[in-house]
Amino acid sequence: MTPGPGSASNPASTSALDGLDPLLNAPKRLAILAVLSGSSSTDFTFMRDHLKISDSDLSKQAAALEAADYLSIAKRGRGRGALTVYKITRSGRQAYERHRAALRNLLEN
Amino acid sequence: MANDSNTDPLAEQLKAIERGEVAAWVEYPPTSVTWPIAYGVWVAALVAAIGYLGGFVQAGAELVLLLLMGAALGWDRRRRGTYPSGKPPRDLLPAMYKMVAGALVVTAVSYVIGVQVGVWPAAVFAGISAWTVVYFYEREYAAVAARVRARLS
Repeated sequence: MTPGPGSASNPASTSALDGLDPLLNAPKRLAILAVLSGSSSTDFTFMRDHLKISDSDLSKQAAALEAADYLSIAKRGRGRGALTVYKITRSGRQAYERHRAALRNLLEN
Repeated sequence: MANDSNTDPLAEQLKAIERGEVAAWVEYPPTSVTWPIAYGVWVAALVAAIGYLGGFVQAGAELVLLLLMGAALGWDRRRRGTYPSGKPPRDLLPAMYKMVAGALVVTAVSYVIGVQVGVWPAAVFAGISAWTVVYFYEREYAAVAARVRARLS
């Protein structure tokens, strides 16, 4: 199991916490990846409305995920009609699925 | 979702996952009543093009129809702000299976009408029945999506 950029600090650990990604412990960031895991791509407005958070908060959370290479951000168009579109990356999907499996493990054990 | 602190972080994370994974499937603006009608017209035109035209004219007409469908799907995608991918939620499967079964029946019956009666009756039948299938599909899908949203809210 290859730890993601935000993975736990003790690589030797084999506990039920393995796979939990500190970056995804924040429900907002986890929810962003959950939405992207079930969509081909998602725009800013849909994501903001789904999470019920402010524009600036979404931008901040998405930037953190982009810095970890968990999602890509594309801008389409210019001016007031410009669209920001998010897409999950391969490493983002892997980290999300690891985190999700670890959560289920925790719940079952 | 507005606050990261919670008495049960595990439950909160699992809820975020469950809501997020189905969001693209169940969170969407209401579908216009004109969508099933437009789809019926499109299907009728496709049947007429296949049965009545031939050669390059037929290929050109089919290409135009495919481009029109692509444009409609692109518009729908922009309108929704997302588009689902991957495995659909289990709740939605019955509606989808019924829609696929309906499409197969429409195709088979339209073919028989086209061979036995004629192209135009087949096109009219295909258009009206496709409109009906899509109308009932949209209605059932919307009802199930509303139930899923309510359950996860």
